[in-house]
Amino acid sequence: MKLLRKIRWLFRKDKVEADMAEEMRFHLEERMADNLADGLSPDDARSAAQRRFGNLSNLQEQAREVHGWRCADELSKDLRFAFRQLRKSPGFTTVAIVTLAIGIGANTAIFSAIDAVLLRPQPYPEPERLVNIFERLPGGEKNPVSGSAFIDWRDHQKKFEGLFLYSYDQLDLTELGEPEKINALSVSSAFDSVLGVRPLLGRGFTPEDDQVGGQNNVVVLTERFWRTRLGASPAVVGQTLRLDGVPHAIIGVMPDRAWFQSSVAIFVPYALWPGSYRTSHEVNRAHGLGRLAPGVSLTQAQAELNSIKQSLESTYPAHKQKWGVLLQPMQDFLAQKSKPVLLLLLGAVGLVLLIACANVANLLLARASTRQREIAVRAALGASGARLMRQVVTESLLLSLLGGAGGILLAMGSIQLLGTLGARYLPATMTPQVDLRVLGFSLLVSCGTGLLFGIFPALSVRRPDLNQALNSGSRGATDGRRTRSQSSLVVAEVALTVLLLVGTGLLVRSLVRAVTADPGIDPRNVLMFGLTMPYGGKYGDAEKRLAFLERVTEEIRSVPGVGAVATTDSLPFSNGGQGYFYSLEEQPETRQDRAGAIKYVSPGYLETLGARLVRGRFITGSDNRPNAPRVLVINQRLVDVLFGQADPIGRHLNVAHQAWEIVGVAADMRIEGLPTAPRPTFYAAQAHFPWGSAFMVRTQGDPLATAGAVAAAVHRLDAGLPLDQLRTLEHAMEESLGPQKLILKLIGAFATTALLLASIGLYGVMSYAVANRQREMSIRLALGAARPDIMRLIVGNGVRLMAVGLGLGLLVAVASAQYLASRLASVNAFDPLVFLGAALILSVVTLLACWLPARRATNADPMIALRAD
Amino acid sequence: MAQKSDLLPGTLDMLVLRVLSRGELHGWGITLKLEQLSKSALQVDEGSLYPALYRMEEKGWIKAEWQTTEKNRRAKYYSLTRAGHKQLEAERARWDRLTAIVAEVMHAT
Repeated sequence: MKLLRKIRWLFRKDKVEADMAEEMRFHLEERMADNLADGLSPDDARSAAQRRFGNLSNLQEQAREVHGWRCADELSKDLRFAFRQLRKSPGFTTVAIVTLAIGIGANTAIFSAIDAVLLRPQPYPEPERLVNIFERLPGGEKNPVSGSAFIDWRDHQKKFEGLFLYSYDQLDLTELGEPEKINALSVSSAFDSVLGVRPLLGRGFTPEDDQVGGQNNVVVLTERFWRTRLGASPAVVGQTLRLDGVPHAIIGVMPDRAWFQSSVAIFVPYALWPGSYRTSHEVNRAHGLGRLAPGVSLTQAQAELNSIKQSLESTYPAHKQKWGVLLQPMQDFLAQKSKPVLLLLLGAVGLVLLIACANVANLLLARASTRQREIAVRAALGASGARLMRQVVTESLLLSLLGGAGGILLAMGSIQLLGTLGARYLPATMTPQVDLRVLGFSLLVSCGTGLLFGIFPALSVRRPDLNQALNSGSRGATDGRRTRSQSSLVVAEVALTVLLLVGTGLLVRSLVRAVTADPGIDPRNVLMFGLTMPYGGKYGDAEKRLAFLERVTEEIRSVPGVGAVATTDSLPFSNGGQGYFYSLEEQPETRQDRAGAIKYVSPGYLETLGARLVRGRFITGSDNRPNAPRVLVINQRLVDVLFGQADPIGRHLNVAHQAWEIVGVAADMRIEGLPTAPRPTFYAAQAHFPWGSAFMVRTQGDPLATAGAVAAAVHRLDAGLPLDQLRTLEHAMEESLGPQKLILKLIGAFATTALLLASIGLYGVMSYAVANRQREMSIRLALGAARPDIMRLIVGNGVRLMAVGLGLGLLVAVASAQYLASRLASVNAFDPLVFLGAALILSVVTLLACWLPARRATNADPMIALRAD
Repeated sequence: MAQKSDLLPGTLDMLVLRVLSRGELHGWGITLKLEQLSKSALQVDEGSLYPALYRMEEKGWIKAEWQTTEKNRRAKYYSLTRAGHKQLEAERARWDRLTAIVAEVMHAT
C-alpha cells in the first residue's frame, strides 16, 4: 500500500505539493483571523502567524521526505540532467553512442549465434532428455551404430522412453518432374513419439511399417517438400511417389521443425531386414537417438546399455569385444563442431567492446575536466560525493543504454547476414534470431559497459578539490590523475588491439597454408557428379551394375571435348565414403587398432585425378572384375604409419576381414578438404563394391560447357537416372575452404574495427594532452625552441604509451596463441612473422595518430595560444 | 503568549491521536483543541505539527480527507484509523507505565 502511494506521489507530485500548500494557507489564514480577533493589527497578525509557521521551505522539504520517494525522485532528476548534458554536446554524444553501438551490436550479433547453437533448447518437448547413442571404440571415440546393436538395446532397455535409428540416404525420385536424387531420412517407427512431434497431415510410421514384410513402401513428407513440390495439396495422403523405382504411398506430412537437418526432404521407414547390412554387426551406418525416461540420468542409461551389451557379448564379433556404448546429449552433439569457433568469435568481439569502452571512458574523462567548475559548485552547495558519483554514473548508464539501443538495431541487421552465412554450417533449428535472451544479453552488456567506463569519471568527481576548481585557470592535481587514467586506458586499448591483430594474423597464415598446401591432385578441368543406380530391378546384381557403369563410361568418352572418364564410389570433397579397420595381414591381433578410408575406383580414376604414383602401379582393368585377386593401392600416409621406410609392395593388409595385396603407393591427396590432413587411405577396384557410383570426367576445355552433353550421354542409356551434385573439382576444392574463410573474414573485421577504435582513442587522448600543454609549448616556442624538438617531445610521449601497450599486448598474445592453437587445429602458435606484422601495423597507425595532433599544435601561433588563456 | 512547554519527543504523536479520537479535525482545529485541552499550556509549533501529521498518515494511523468547513472553505480533515486507535491505546498504556515508574522513583523516601 505504501509503495503504491509512493508511486502515485511520483506521478502526481505537483498535485500533492499544491494540496500541501493549500493546507498550510488555510491554517495560516485561520491563525491570522485568530490574531485579528485577539486585537492585533492586520500586519502584525500576518507576521505573527507566519513566524509560527517557521521556515516554510523546510516544512515542505520535511513533508516531501515523508511522503515522497527520495530515490526515484533523485533518479528522475539525474536522468533529466544527464539528458540535457548530452544534448548540449552533440558531437561527443554522437561519437560515444556510435562507438558503443558498434561494440554492443557486434557482441549481440555473435551472442545470438551462440544462443541459437549452444543455449536455445531444440524445439522438441523436454529436449534435455534427448540423447544421441553411439557405439564406443576401445579408444573412447564415438562410432555410428550397427543395426543389431540397436536391436539388442531396443529389446532389453528399461531406462528409455523410446529409441530410434536413423540414417541419411539418397533416393531417386522419378515421375515428378526431372529425375533427381533427394535426401531422405530412414527412421524407425518410434521417431515421432521419441521426438514428440505430431504430423500436420496423416500419420507417422507405426511398428508395422518398419517391420520386415510389413508395408515398408510408405513415405512421410516434410512440410517443405510438401509445399514446394506438391503445392501443399491437402489431398496428398494416399498419393504415391516413385522412389528408386518403387511406388511409395504417402501417409503423412511432418512439420518443418520435426527434423533439424533442413536438407532432408522425406522420411522412409528404417526396415531392419534380417541378413542384410541393416541388421549386421559389421556395418555401422546408422545413428541412434533416444529419449530418457523421466528421472533417469544420462550416466544411468549409459550404464544400462553397456551392461546389455556385455551380457550379449557372445553374439558380437571378435573385433567388437572391447567396444561399448556412449551417450551424448543431443544439443551437445549438434553444437560440437561450431562451439570452439563461436567461443573464439565471442572472445574477439568482447575485446572490441572493451576497446570501445576505453574510448568512451577517455572521452568522458576529457569532458569531466571541462565540467570541473560546475561540479565544484554543486559540491559547495551541499551535494555529497556519493550524490555526485551517482549523477555521473547515471549519465554513463544513459549513454550506454542509448548505445545499446543503437547496437540492437545494428545487430538485427547483421543477424540476418549471419543467418544466411551460417545456414550452410548449422542445423535448421539453429538459426540466429533476436529473442528475449538475446535482448536480455544486450541489456546486460549495455549496463555493464556503462558501469565499467562510468567508474573512471565517477572516481574523478568523488572528492573534488573545491578550492582549486573554483579558482580560474589552474591546473590541479586532479588533472594529473585524469591524465594517468587516460594513459593507462590507451595502453590497454593498444594491448587489446595487438591481441586481435595477432589472432587475425595467425588465422590468415593457417588459411594461406591450407590454400597453398599441395592437394596432391590436378583439379583443373574436371567435371564430377554422382550417379547411383537404384537397388534391384535391372541393376540388381554386381555384374549388371558394373556392366552399366562401363557402358556409361564409353558413352561419355565419345562426347566431344572429353578427355578421360573414370568412376569411383565417393567423390573428393563430398563428405562421403566409407572407412574400415585395417591391419597387417600377419598381425590379426591389431585388427581394430587403426581405421582408414577406403575408395573404390575404376581403372584410370587415379590418373584422371592427377594422383602421383610413388611406387608400384595403379588399378588396372584386370583388377576390375568381381573375382579378380584383391589388390590395393595405398597412400603415403598409410605407408608411414604401418611400414615406415620399408617397401610395402607385395605385403598384405587385412581390410574388412579380407586379405588384400598392396600393389602400389600414391602420394597423399587432400581430398577430404584442403585444410584436412590426409588420413591413411586405400584404393581398391570398383568391382568389389559397385553399390555407389560417381563419375570423374576430365575435359579439354571448360568442364561446365561440356556438362550438358555429358548429361545427355548418360540419359541416352537410362533417362530415369538423375545426375547428382554436378560441379567441377576445382569448385569443390575451393568450397572446402569455406568455413575457414568465413571465420577469417569475421575476425579480420573485428581486428580492423579494433585498430580503428584504438587509433581514434589514441588520437583523442593525444589531442587532449596537447591542448592541455598548449601554454607550456607556446612558452617554449617563444623562448626559442625549435619546432621539431617540440614535436619530438609530444610524439615521444605517445610513442612511450604505445610501446608499453605493444609490449603488454605481445606478451598476452604469445600466451593466447598457445591457447588458440590448442583449440583450432589449423593454427600454428609459433609464427614470428605474424607477431612482427602485427607490431608493425600497430606502430605505423599509432604513430600517425600521435603525429597529427602534434603537428597541429606546433603549427599554432604561440602568441594566440598565450593570449587565449 | 503562554510559555511553550517542551514536549518529550514522540508525545506529540500520542497527543494528536488522542485529540483525533474524539472526532475528525483539520490541522488548525488540532492546534486549537490541544491548546484548549491543556488550558493554554500547550502551543504546538506548526513546524512540528504538520510533519507529525504527515508521518502518522504515512504509517497509516490517521487518514486525511478534503472537506468543506462551516465557513465554506476547503480544508484537509484528519481522522483515526483502526490501526490508529490501537496505536493510541498502546501509547497510552506505555505513558501510564512510564509516569508511574518515574513517580515511584521521585517520591520514594
